Amino acid sequence: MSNSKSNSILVFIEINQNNHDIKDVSKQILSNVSILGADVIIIGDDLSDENREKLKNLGADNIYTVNSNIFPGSNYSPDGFARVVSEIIKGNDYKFVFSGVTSKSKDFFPILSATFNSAMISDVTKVDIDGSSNISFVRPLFAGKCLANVIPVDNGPRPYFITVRPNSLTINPTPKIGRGIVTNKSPTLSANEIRSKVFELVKGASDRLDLTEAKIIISGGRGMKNADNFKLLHEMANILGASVGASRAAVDSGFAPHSMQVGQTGKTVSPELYIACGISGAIQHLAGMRTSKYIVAINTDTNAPIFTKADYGIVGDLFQVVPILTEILKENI
Amino acid sequence: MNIFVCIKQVPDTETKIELTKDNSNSYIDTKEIKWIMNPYDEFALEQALLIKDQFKTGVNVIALRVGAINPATEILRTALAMGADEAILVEATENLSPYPTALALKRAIDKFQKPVDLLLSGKQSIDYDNFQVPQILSTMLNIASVTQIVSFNITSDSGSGSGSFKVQLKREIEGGAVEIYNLNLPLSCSCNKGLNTPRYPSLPGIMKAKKKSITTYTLQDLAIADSEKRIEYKSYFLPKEKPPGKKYTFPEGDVGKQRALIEEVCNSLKKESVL
Ligand SMILES: Cc1cc2nc3c(=O)[nH]c(=O)nc-3n(C[C@H](O)[C@H](O)[C@H](O)COP(=O)(O)OP(=O)(O)OC[C@H]3O[C@@H](n4cnc5c(N)ncnc54)[C@H](O)[C@@H]3O)c2cc1C
Repeated sequence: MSNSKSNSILVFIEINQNNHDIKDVSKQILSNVSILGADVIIIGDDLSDENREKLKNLGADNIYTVNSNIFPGSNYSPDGFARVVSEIIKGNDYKFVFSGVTSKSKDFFPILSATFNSAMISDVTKVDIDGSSNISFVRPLFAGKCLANVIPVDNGPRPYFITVRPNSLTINPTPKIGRGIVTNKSPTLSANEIRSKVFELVKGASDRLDLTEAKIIISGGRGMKNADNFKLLHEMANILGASVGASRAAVDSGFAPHSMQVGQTGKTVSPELYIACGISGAIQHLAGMRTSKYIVAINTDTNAPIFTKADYGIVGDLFQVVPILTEILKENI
Repeated sequence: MNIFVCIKQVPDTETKIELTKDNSNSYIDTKEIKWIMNPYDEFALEQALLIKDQFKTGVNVIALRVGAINPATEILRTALAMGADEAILVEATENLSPYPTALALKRAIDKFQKPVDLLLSGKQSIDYDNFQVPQILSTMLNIASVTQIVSFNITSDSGSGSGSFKVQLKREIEGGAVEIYNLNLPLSCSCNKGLNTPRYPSLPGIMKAKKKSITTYTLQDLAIADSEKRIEYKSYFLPKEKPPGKKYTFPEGDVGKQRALIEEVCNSLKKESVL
């Protein structure tokens, strides 16, 4: 039942739980692709009038909302979400379905792509749309040590599923204005058809933005010496509205939990500003943060490799530098 | 209980990536690469072996790999030496994309004719970082899937590896929050760091591994055509290096000078509208 007037793009939109705003990565994607005609889908999160208006102004034509009370205990289920999105896709003729790289999309987008026997291109950092509306992508490999141009093959099964790394696209300041028509969909599946559903959700200790979405990150390494000293970084983070990260050495030494690890075997981050305190800059750490727009490094060792990547390097003792930096930021912000 | 574990080898994380010189940026130069078992797959294999240790009898661990004979055989031997019982190798090029990889694994499992009770894999491989194969494969196998697990707890009503099982999983999401899942088998889990500490192959393990067999299939055996690839890597390139930044030495003792330096850095960042 393909719809002849269907848009070619669907974007899976997520809402931040802490401030109820649309996730930046959702805005970044929609504002850049809506020129081709885009619908959006939101599952579980209530759509405020304010967010409806925002989605419209970023280019959304149809806004599909799906109530989540079929996912008891939490508002997520990998196969449940895949099923709900696939029902929307089946009534349309989408060529591409987008999402930000988030813990949900990482989980259920591959399930969706398998449902449609089509392919997924994960973690893209660039979306190019040419004059004839062909789309191509750039994605990093080997934790960003290398990049690749990737295209869908002609006549491959549609739609293609694309996830975009947060903060890699900039929000288009003048996107096409969409129609903003809200349709509430009730999924046809019943609770017992869902195989994997969350039984319980245990909230994290921090209500800060996840590292992958943060605009400013302050990270500590082995040079922090102990877990307690991370307080210094949290204090600075509070002033800047930043998130706090760590090197693997800091995580392995028990200074910070693994959810805070930045690097090849931790999180890949692209903030506007990354402040590295007592981090040497091993290749695996650099791999996770090299795409940060500005890097500040504080390290006692003038030969530390982190300085080769830093826009501003301060050779000095972090226990002297960080308090002064915090004090100056407090006075100025 | 049959536990299938997907294993891949990847370039060592220290590897400097170079492009092949001959054919303008056609692919990564793999000549100098030192291969290691994908770190997340080690957690998956260790989890399978922990279940085997827990139930003592009735658990069969099968390591699976899609890739070129060399270095894929070596990594399967390592898996056998760590304690896997059997291994399956699907011979293919190293850079197969996720969809055909998952399809090859699915057809290899069908051909092997042992039912899947548990499928374990790493949450991603640290070369192509696609984060897709476990979920595509679980969809093809029509079993439930949970990704990025940091805790795995299994109980059996019989106390051994045959019977009825209950599994509790924990998955870490944004901001350190944790989702808890209570599930039955069959099930697919992709594993994250924090799940366990992988063991090293023991000397007797290495000796025993030499006698264990590796079942090999080709893509032709599994009827996987080139048209299954669906996406194309057109070209590869290296990231642009940043121009060197400014480096300051923090002055000892003089608080006024110290403040002046930090203020200068802050002002520069303000000018760039980062602060
Ligand atoms: C397979 C594999 C995967 C890995 N994945 C990751 C990963 O994802 N992320 C990651 O970070 N690492 C990873 N690593 C580890 C990596 O190789 C390094 O060991 C690690 O990044 C080092 O952390 P560090 O910089 O905090 O510690 P160190 O290298 O020990 O550096 C500490 C630094 O602190 C400085 N310092 C000490 N005291 C002070 C002070 N008072 N003031 C200022 N500076 C001070 C020192 O000069 C030194 O440069 C991985 C390694 C392997 C093998």
